[in-house]
Amino acid sequence: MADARLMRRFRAGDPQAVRELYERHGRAVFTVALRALGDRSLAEEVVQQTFLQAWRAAHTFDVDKDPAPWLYAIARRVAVDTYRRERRHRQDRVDDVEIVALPPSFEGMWEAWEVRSALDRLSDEERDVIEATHYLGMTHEQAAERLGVPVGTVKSRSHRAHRRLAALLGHLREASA
Amino acid sequence: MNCEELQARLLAGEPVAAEGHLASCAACRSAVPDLEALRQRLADPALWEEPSPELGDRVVATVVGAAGDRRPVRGRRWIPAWVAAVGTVAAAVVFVGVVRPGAPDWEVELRATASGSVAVAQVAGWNTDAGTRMELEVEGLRRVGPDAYYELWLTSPDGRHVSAGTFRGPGEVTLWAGVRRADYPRIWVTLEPADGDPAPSGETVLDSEA
Repeated sequence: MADARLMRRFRAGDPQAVRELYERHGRAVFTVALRALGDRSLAEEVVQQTFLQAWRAAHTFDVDKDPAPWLYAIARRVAVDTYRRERRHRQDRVDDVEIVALPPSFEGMWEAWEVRSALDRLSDEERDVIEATHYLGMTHEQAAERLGVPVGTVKSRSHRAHRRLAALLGHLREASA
Repeated sequence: MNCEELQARLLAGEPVAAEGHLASCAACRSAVPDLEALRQRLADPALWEEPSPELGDRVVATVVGAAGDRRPVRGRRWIPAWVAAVGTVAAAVVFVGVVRPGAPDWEVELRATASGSVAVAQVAGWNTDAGTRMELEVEGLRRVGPDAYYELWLTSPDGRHVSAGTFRGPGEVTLWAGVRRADYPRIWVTLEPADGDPAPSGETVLDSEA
């Protein structure tokens, strides 16, 4: 119901609702756009266009539904359009761009969206540990030094974070089963 | 050890005894490859990049700017006046402190691209931390119905387009773009069908380079 109220306010162009929807989903939009296009500037343009297109289409959205899949679908379409536009500009070939296959970076975008959304639901401390160990490849000891906390704290945060991530992303495993 | 505990350990990449829970739980055994794939996905650099801190401001500016143009919603001819008023006031509130008051930083005239058209627009722009605020005075364009709208675009020298918002016809309107005019010097207006396609239609009606 909180989402329904938010989406009604978003549909009316309420700036606070736009901000709130961006805070909830903007980073996931950015992640999938960056992953697909590999360019921060283009990814940020996709984020802006996604929320603008979402507002324009908000009257078609069922406010009782989860807005995430809807926003994702818009974001993907905008990213595809942006990719084709950039490709057209680079190659100056208009005729065949609409049928060109998308690059591998466009695969797995929904999973990337879900993982980023799950990471955003962790506490900052938990996310810092996940970043240090998975992205930066650090041991618990190195992560402890980087974060300025005891190793035991890193281990407990890591344990809690992985439990939450495994639970939050369980539906991805079920979908692939 | 239960399923939740074991799957958390697998996701963390911690060693798990093969003869323990894993040996007796088919669900956990089947989850092993997916958890490994998920573990590898957590190293994806795109997951850990953060958008620019001001992107939220730009998104709000873009949507609120568009909301201020009185575009129609299903079942109504126009967005109610109070919505437009809220959008306009909110835009001012949201960007108080970043909008430079006083004279515009630049002005440009947009001329009609079609021969015989008397349409013209004056654009006054203010450079802000969140992008560009523009005030348009449009004359000579026919007012369009609910199936179409005019859209203002900024274009960079290398051909990137950014929408600054939409309007319906002659009059004054304030629009925002989350980019700098210096980077996107061309300003132009297209007539767009209300088909949900975010790309420019190609039907240019006003252009700073005309």
